[in-house]
Amino acid sequence: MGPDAKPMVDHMVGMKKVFAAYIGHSLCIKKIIGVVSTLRKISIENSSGISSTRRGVQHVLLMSDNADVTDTIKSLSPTEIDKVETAIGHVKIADGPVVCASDVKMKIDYVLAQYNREDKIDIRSIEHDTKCGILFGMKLMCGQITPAASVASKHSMLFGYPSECIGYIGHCNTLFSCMAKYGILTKEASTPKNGLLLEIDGVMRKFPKDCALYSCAFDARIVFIVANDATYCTPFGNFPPAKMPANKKQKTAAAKTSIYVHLDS
Amino acid sequence: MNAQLRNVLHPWHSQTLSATAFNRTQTNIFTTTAHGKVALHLFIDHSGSISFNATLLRTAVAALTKGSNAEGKFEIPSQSGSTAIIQTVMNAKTQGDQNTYVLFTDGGENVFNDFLEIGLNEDKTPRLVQWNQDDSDTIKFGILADWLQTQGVKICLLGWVLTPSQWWTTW
Repeated sequence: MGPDAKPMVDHMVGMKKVFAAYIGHSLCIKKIIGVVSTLRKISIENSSGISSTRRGVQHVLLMSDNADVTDTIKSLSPTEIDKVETAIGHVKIADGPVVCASDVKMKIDYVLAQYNREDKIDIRSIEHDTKCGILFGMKLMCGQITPAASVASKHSMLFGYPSECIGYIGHCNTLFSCMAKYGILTKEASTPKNGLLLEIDGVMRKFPKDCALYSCAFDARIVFIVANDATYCTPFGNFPPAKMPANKKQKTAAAKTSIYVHLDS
Repeated sequence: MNAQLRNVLHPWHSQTLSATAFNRTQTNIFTTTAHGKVALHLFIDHSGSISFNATLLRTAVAALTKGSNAEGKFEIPSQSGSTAIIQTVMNAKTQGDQNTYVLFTDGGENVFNDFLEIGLNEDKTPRLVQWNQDDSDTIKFGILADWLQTQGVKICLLGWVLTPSQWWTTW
C-alpha cells in the first residue's frame, strides 16, 4: 500500500462497517467498477432494512497491486479498450495517463487549439486530413523512434496527402514539434550525418541526415483506434500513395521492389 | 439509513451532483445549473501524490458519476501541490453546505496543523484532539479518519500495493 494511504487505511479497517476491496493486477478497471457497483448494491439493499453503515457513513477503499495501473491497459484486448472508453472515458484528468481513445483525442485537440491560438493559423478546413497524418506518425513513433519526415517530407513521406490539403507538410512538422512541447511526443536527437536506415512495417527505409526524430509513450493500439475513427479524422485508407521523385522512381523500378506501408494494429 | 444517504446510494440517473477538485486550494470543477437541491458533492484530490493513482481515481469517479448530470462535463485538474483535506471539508461546512460529501483521496493530508473536534467526551463536552504534522502518520491519519467519520463524509480512499522490496525501502 502506498505510503500516504497506509496509516489511514490501517485505522479505518479497524472500524465497523468499513468496506475494503482488493483490486487485482489484471483487468483492474473492471474490478474497480465492480467494487463500486457492489457497494452501491449493498447499500441499496440495506436501504429498506437496517442500515449497514456506521452512523450513516460508508467508506470504500480501493487498492491496486501495481504502482501504475496503466501497465494493465497494455494487456487489454481492443474490445476491452473499448469497454474502458465506455466506463471511464467521460472523466478526464489533465496530464493523466492515456488509457483510452478519448485521452488521445483530448491531447491532440489541445495541441491543435494551441497551434491555432499561438501561431494564429486556422487549419479547421484541413483539420481532419492533418490529424490523419499526425496520427499515422504517432502510431509509428509508439513502436520506435521515427523521423517526422516519414509523414511530413516531400522526399521521405511514406504516403501522400490530398491535393486540396494546402500546407499539409508544414502543418504536420510544426504540430509534431508542438506535440513534443506539450509532452505528447519526446524529441530525440536528429538523424546522423550518414542518415538513418529504419525498418518500418517490415520495409527498410532510408532517411537523410538532420531529420527530426520523435518517440511516443502511448499505446499504439489506442492511437490506431483514434486513427480509424472517421468522425475524428480522415481514415488513412482515403489518403493517396506517396508521389516518388523521378530519380527514386527509376531506381525502384530497376530493383523491381515495391513499398507497402501497413497501418495495422 | 437516513433518506439523504438512501437517495445518494440509489442509481445516479436522477442524481444532481457537484464537484470540487482540491489540493492546497479548492476549485469548483462542476456546478449544476439544474434547479433543486444538489444531492451529492464530490471532493476530488488532485495533489501531487495522486499521480500514482490517477487511473484508480478516474475509475472511481467515473463509476460514481456515470448517468448523473455531471457525466462528461468536468475535467480533473493536473496533479500537483500539497493536500488539504481537512480545510476542504471545513470550507464546505462553513459555507452552510449540508450536502452529502464523497471524498476521493489517497489520504495524504499534509497541510493542517491545529485542533480537531472529534465527537464528545463523557461529560458531553467537545472532544478536541490536536493534529500535529510532526506526529507519526499512524496517529495523524487515525485522527483524520475519525474526524471525517464525525463529519459524515464518505471516503473513497485510493491506494496501491508495493512489492516487498519497495515496502521495506518505504517503511
